Amino acid sequence: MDLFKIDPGLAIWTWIVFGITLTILGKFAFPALLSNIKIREKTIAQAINNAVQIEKRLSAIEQEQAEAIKASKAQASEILRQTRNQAENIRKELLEKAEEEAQDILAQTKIKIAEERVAVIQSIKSEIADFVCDASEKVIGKSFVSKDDRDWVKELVEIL
Amino acid sequence: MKNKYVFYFLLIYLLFSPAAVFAQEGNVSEVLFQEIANGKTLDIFPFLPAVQLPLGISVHFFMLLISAGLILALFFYGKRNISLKPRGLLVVLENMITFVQDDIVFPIMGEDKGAKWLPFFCTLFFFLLTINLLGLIPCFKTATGNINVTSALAAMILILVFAVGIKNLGIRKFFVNLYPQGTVLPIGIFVAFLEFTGMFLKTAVLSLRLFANMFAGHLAIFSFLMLIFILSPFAGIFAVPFTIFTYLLEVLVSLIQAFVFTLLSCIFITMASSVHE
Repeated sequence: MDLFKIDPGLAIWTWIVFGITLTILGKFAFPALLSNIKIREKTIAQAINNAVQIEKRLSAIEQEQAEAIKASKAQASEILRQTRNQAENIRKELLEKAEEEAQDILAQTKIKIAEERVAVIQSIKSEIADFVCDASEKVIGKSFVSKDDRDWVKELVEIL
Repeated sequence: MKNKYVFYFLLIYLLFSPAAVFAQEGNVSEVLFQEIANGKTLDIFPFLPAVQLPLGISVHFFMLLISAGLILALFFYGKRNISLKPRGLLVVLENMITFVQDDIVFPIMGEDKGAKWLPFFCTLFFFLLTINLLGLIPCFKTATGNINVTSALAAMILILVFAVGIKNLGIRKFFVNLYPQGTVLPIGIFVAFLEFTGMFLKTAVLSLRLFANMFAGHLAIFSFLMLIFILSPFAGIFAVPFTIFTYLLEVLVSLIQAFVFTLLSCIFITMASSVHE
């Protein structure tokens, strides 16, 4: 069995073949391939770094956004509160003004009513005086009432 | 579909190959070793006449040449199609280079020193892997199943261990480094002797491990197939599945052995230039 047969020729050829392969690859193939791998590793590392940076920025922006939303909500609720207060004040002012105007109108109306009342009473009295004079003339049968008499009757009715 | 035909071809080849030799020789051990051992002729297909290799070269040397050719073709294909977004075969190539770089060379040697040695270890890994896998293809043989090939590679590592050690530490310090500091003289000399012989033994074991694994794997495959001819054709019911399993295992062993050889070579070379505390 030539299983362990020493064959120096094959051993030397093994070195030669390996040596030639290593030399050719080392000179022509490895520099380009290894530099390409290095460039890709750098590119990937840079991309990962960029992704981490973007993630950081994104989380910062999200935080800022959350803070802005919080501040906006606070501001909105403050504005709402102020607006409510203002609206309440305006409503009160308007109510007071309306009440004042209503009081004015009521007072003026009362005055007017009183004046109207006086005028109506005056008119009724004048009518009554005329009616008394006309009735007296018809009862007596002759016109006795001069203008002065009529005025006298009117003054009398006024006194009544 | 294509894989199916490849599988059938492989199976027929594996079955017919020992059958053809068995028909000629009629001796089991002859058949087994003829399938693995070196020779001057190459069986292209069972029952067909063997092809005489040109210039009287041996089959294992021919396998070395084919492996070197395949590696060169693969790397030059990679170089030609170089891209930042690799596709197809280039992905496999670059991943394997990165594997050697990140899992073997850089963790052991460090990045600065490792960068200089990376082409050597990459070539060694690819060289061994191609030779190992080549033996699994019908009509090819495993050159690493020959002790001369593995010994030559291991001897190359041994020479490098000495060369790198002496270059980095100086010849005196390299040998003084074998002597453990602070021990009594007789023990120190004994340990130094062990360390020195250990360097040879470690590389010898490196060679034997690869040879034995590849040789035994192929022997196991053919042994299972031989059962069909020795026992009965019905033994094929068990022999064929076992053969397929061993064949697939052999693919894994090829990868592992290439990895182990490269890894240990890297460790030995690194250890040679480091000062023992």
